[in-house]
Amino acid sequence: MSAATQPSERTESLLQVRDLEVHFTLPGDGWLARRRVVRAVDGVCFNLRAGRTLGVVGESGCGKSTLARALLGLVPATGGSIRLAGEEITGRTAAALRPLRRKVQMVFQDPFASLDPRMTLGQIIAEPLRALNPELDAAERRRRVRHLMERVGLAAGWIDRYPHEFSGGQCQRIGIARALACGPELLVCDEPVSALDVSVQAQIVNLLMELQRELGLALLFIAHDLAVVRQVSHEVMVMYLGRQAELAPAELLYRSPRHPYTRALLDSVPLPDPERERARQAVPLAGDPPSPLSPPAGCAFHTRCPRAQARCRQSRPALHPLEEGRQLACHFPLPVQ
Amino acid sequence: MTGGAPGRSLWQDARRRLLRNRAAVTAMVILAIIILLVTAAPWLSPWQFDQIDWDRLSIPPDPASRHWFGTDAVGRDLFVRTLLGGRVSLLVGVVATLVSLAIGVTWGAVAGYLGGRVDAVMMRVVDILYAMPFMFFVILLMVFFGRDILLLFVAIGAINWLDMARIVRGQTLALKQREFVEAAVASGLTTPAIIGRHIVPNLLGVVAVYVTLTIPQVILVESFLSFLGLGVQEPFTSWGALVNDGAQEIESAPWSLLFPASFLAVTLFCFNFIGDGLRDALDPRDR
Amino acid sequence: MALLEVRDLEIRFHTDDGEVRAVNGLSFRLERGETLGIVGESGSGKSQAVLGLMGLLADNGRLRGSVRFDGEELTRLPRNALARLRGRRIAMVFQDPLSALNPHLTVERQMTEVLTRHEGMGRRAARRRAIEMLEAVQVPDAARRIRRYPHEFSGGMRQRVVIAMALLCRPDLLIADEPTTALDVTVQAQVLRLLRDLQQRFHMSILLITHDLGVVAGLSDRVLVMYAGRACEEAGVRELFHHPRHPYTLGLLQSVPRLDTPAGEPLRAIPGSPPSLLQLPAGCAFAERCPRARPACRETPPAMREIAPGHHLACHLEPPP
Repeated sequence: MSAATQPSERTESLLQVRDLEVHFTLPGDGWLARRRVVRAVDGVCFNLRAGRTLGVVGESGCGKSTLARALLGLVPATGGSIRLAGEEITGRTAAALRPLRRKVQMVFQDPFASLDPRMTLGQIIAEPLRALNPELDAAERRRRVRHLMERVGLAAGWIDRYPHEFSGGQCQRIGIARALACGPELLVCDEPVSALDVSVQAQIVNLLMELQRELGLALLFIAHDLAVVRQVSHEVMVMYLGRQAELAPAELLYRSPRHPYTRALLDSVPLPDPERERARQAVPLAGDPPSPLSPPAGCAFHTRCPRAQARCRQSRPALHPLEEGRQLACHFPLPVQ
Repeated sequence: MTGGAPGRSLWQDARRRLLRNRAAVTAMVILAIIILLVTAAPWLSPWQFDQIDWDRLSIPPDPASRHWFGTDAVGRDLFVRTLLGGRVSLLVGVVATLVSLAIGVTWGAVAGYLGGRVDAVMMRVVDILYAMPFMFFVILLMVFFGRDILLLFVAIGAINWLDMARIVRGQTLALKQREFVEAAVASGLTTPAIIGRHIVPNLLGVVAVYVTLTIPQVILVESFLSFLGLGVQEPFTSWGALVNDGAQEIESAPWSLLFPASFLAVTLFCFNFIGDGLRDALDPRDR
Repeated sequence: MALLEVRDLEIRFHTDDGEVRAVNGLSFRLERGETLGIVGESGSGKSQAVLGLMGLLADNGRLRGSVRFDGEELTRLPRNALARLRGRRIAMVFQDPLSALNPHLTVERQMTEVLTRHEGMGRRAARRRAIEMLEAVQVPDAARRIRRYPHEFSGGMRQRVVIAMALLCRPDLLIADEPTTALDVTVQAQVLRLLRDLQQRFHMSILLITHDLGVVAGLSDRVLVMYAGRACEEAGVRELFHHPRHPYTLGLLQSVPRLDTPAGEPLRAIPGSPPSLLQLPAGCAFAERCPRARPACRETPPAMREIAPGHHLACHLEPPP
């Protein structure tokens, strides 16, 4: 993996996701009750090249965490395809997935819960090496762990300590070191900074961006904080109730969103600026997101959309390409600004 | 948080808290003394456990003849018999608990981690066994196969694992939701490795507490069986059997009830205090 | 007279690992009809401070200092008098609306109970007031929805119900601890707007506790920034956001990515992490992470002083212009 900071347009994408569906069947109430299906992820398409970051935003229940878990094979995809470096991930057994695990790793939301409290830092970080690079001996593993720890900003002398002795930010660094242990090409980050204190978030965001530049990693960065996502992403995807509403280059999406939901999200973020905050007009969206158990027919957003018309209630808008690499699923998009 | 010293594990933390709990430490010391006495019994008295002192039938404690606790109705030394009964009782408690531990932890962890149909089938088996009248089951075993002490261990253990399996399964279900288990899957660990490396070590705290509370429970069950005359066979004895014998002579020879009953009660108290102390020490709420 | 005046508040917790010094000499005032935002990270003592002044500390907590509410000293009030005050004159809204509601009772039952018990109202009048209040917090179809159970409401609606319950007795002071943190961003915008409207309508004081600078900017009149159990800066909201003087306030404002500035630059992170409350440093708690720290900063904790009308600062350094 040489420096991949400026990949040519012709390089094939590291990750290709097509019409991905993850549906869960919930057990009904009692034996004979009808089983309900949750369409947690319902028709998601994107490409991700080495060295690039795709940000994924959306509210709770939009399926962004399920998407992350599907990419790692932690939940099975029920439809569509995920190709990682040309190899299909969906439909593989756990054993068949194992060789691919070296290429994709995950950074979790909760820095404490994602580390086994009974293990030392050294054991935690070495775990992927132990499982996926069994040819390494203990001494070599330990050498690599020390190197990884220094790389993510932890003192190598802490190798025999336990996670509960560290702060949230440091635990998140441990999680990142573990994710990097096998030299992955894709890092899936599920809300990696949302559990951290404000002053520590920036450290972790900067670390991830630095690692990306240095190692040519592709990042899938999931967050609900739109400002953080803008900071790290080359492209941003907006999800609503399991569906992809809009996907566009970050700068374009934030400057001129065309899905009414993207617009509403951006307008909802409170700004650390008293004048602008107070000058704010009406609240952008009324109501809560509907339950993913019973999404509205037609366009899932029509119940809250200020632009909704009869057609939105009846037919689901297809995802279609627009200008400058934008993809949009909306019958009545906002004009380009 | 600087320097390269090895860190304090959660176990070390718990040990520190446990050692600060006076009731638990006292209980551990007393229990250690009891275990020591019980182990050293043959060297502490000139009398054998089945030796009959024809001259002194049913006498109160008598240091002159070295019957420290007196003798029973047939002239056997109560001191030696109490300690020997302790051996049997403690052994039944520990062995039966180990049996239930081995079966219960494996069963519960596997059912909880695999989930779905496997879990449903495995837990229905537990439910069915639960529904069987347990005393009846043990009594039947004893009647069919005779009063074999090994069989007693197995029978009690085989009943007790049901509770253990349920507790472990519940804990496993909670652990499975934790992100570090997902992280282990993403790291490429196989299912047995995840159960062995992540699930079981994190269960041990709860299990340890439960074990200290199971041992006295098993001792009581054995006592009850002996009380019914289904426990260990003469001339061997256990605390339960001794208490039973003593209870019949409570008016003529109160010492034959007092000594074994005190040992039994003190031991049970000790285990309960240790269990409470362990639970407090391992409880993550105050961290 | 200020509605709430807190002076030299100290809160300590005794734990197995030692004494946790959660709040260390905190003082502030809250006027009638005013909103004071208390900003800080986890462990800054902001939540413990309000729990303490309401008499709701955990069993191992000890409180010292003075808390005067409408001229009355709360720290010397007997337990049940304090309990009566809570709910009637002081109401609270927490982060998690579900834990504030009893899942086994209908919303109607929970709301009317407050009124029949605290205000001695009849069932009918109580029900009418409860519905009015639900309408005030914009729960649609309140008269019918009031008969539902908490789990039948969505997250945002639940928080509205909790706010309506808090306002039932028309309190003088509303304490809102991270009221929108658990909500989605579009719902957060609704609840923030609602809180602002309600304050104007009922003319109450709000003590808003949050880690989110955007939330404070929109809702507060004055802002108090806390770090490691101490106040480090207090000022009017405009003054604080436009002329922050404490290096920590400045660091916070600079480290947060924001939508209204250009993207692309690396964030200016504050290095390190907050100190352990078990072993607070002798001097300024922020000195360890402060880019401008001098030897003096590590020796004595800086005292709060007024550097401009209404602008208080606890820092040894000469404030930047």
